[in-house]
Amino acid sequence: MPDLQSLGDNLQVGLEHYLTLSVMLFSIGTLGVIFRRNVLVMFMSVELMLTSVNISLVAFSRYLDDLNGHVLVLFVLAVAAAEAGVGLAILVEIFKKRDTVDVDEFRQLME
Amino acid sequence: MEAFQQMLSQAGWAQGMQPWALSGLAMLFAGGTILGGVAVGAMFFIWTERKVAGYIQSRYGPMYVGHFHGVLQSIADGVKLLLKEDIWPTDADKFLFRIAPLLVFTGAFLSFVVLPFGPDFVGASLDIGLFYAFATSSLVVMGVIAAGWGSNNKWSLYGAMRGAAQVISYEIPLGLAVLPVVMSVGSLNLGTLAEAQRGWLWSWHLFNPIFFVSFVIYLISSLAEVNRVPFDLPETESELVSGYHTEYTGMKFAFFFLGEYADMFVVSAIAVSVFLGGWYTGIPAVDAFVPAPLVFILKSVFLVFVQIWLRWTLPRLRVDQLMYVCWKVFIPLSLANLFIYGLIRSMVG
Amino acid sequence: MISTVIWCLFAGMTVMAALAVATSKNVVHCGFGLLFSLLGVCAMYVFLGADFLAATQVIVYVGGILVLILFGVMMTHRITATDLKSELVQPVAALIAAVAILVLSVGMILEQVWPAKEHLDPITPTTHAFGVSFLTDYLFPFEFASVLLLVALIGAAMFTRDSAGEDSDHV
Repeated sequence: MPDLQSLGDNLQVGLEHYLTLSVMLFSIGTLGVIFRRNVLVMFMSVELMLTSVNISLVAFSRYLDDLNGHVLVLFVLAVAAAEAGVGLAILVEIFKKRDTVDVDEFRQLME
Repeated sequence: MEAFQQMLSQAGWAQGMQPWALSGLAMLFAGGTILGGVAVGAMFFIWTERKVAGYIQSRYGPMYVGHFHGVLQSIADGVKLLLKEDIWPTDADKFLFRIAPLLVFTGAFLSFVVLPFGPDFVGASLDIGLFYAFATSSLVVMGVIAAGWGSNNKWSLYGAMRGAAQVISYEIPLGLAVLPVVMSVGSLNLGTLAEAQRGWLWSWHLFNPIFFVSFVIYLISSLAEVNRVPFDLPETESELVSGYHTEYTGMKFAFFFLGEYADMFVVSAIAVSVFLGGWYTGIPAVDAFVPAPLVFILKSVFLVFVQIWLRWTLPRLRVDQLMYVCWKVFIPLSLANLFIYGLIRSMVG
Repeated sequence: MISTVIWCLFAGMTVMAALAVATSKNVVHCGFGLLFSLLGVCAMYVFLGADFLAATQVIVYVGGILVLILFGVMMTHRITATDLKSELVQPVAALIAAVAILVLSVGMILEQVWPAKEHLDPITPTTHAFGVSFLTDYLFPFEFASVLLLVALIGAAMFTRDSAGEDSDHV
């Protein structure tokens, strides 16, 4: 990728910037999971947290010059895809029975 | 991109500029060229569509604007769309309604960056070109969903959900179909894939029996990918009143339209560079003096013509037939094709 | 210089869109916030030279997971119902947790000395190295991931299958 390389040469961003971005995304994801009661939004926040970890993996992989971080990210993507598929299937099933997507209503096992 | 950069660095007025400014300017020029090309090309395709439809249905189509067979009809249409009132449906989701046409057009436009119009005429010769082109079509899906949801119209929403389901389903056979070729060439770069077909006509990937099966799967799946007849279920004028862009008027509608025709060109151009010899004419002696972009564009325009031709010839499928063809015919077939090609390669070496 | 500005724009877009996911009251807007956040992350991958991952990110997250989530939104909220609002609860606890994570981690990041920028190699295409490591070092995890995806696919299909015949959710 010659074009990107010419861009990257004078990029004044270091590993700490990527890590800070990753941490910001992770804390926003945490915020979303605690803040919201809608399962779908909690789901999206979890995806944000997964993605934030991916950023730091790729950043470390670049700065330590090691491709293993990239491979890990690909496995995280696979797990996220599996999680989304099964999670949404369960959610749609619950919605058919309970008619809500609010986690506070899903207390059947507790009561 | 590199060509632009070289031209700029030789131009007198650009002397003494910073390298980053030079590369930025070259990027702007390359992007502008592509954007202009997309707009003009889409207008030409819209005119072609109307003329071909006319002749297939034994009528003339547009004949007046521009004196010669209505060649300027698309420009008249464009001006009309610009002047139309911009209508916002009641209770439309303002944000989604606005970004939907942009997402659709951007998704189509981004793919042009990797199309190899010739050995030196490529926006960015990405190592993952083919993969990148498939990835950008995901943006189109999001645009379609945004349009359907933002319009606050149940027919639009039905159209959008059909469109999204169809596009993400047909992306699988589309990707699997090109894999044998990728295996054979050992690269995802569209330029390298085209380069591998240098020489006589029979060195084109189309004339290899296994790649021919791939080509047929690719061609049919690409029709579904760009929502064309016989797979135009997201639009179906007769039941969904043109689906997710029912509520759009004026410039926003024009963006959907441009995006659709740009997408048709992109899938055709990918087919040309992967299967139909890219910028090579098939006769080595002719290659020497025919400009590469001309060959590439002519081949792609021919495939676009095939898409238009099919649209006015075939009836539309039902939703279940559409999904049946994808999941039960194309995906197993393309997997089997890939497997057989792998077997042959591992045995022959 | 110009690339630093572009980087900051993408980073800003990522964070703002993520905030929209966590705070927007409209679930569909949350989904589109996630879209822009993921595209920003994809730009970060490009800056980091992970070309293959950037494309995979768009195909898997945007083309797959996000579309799935939005389908989930549309199936679990009656299509004609306008009431998509979702409650915000426990704001204090959420803010404390998020700010604590942010402050502690950023403090830790600033304390460390990280490898300097001068040692970076030029960006090279990663696809080939990817393929090699998947078929050598990571062969078992790779096969395992594919089995996992297959199991998830079949499981999801089994869950949502309507045993009582015709399903009204078909679109």
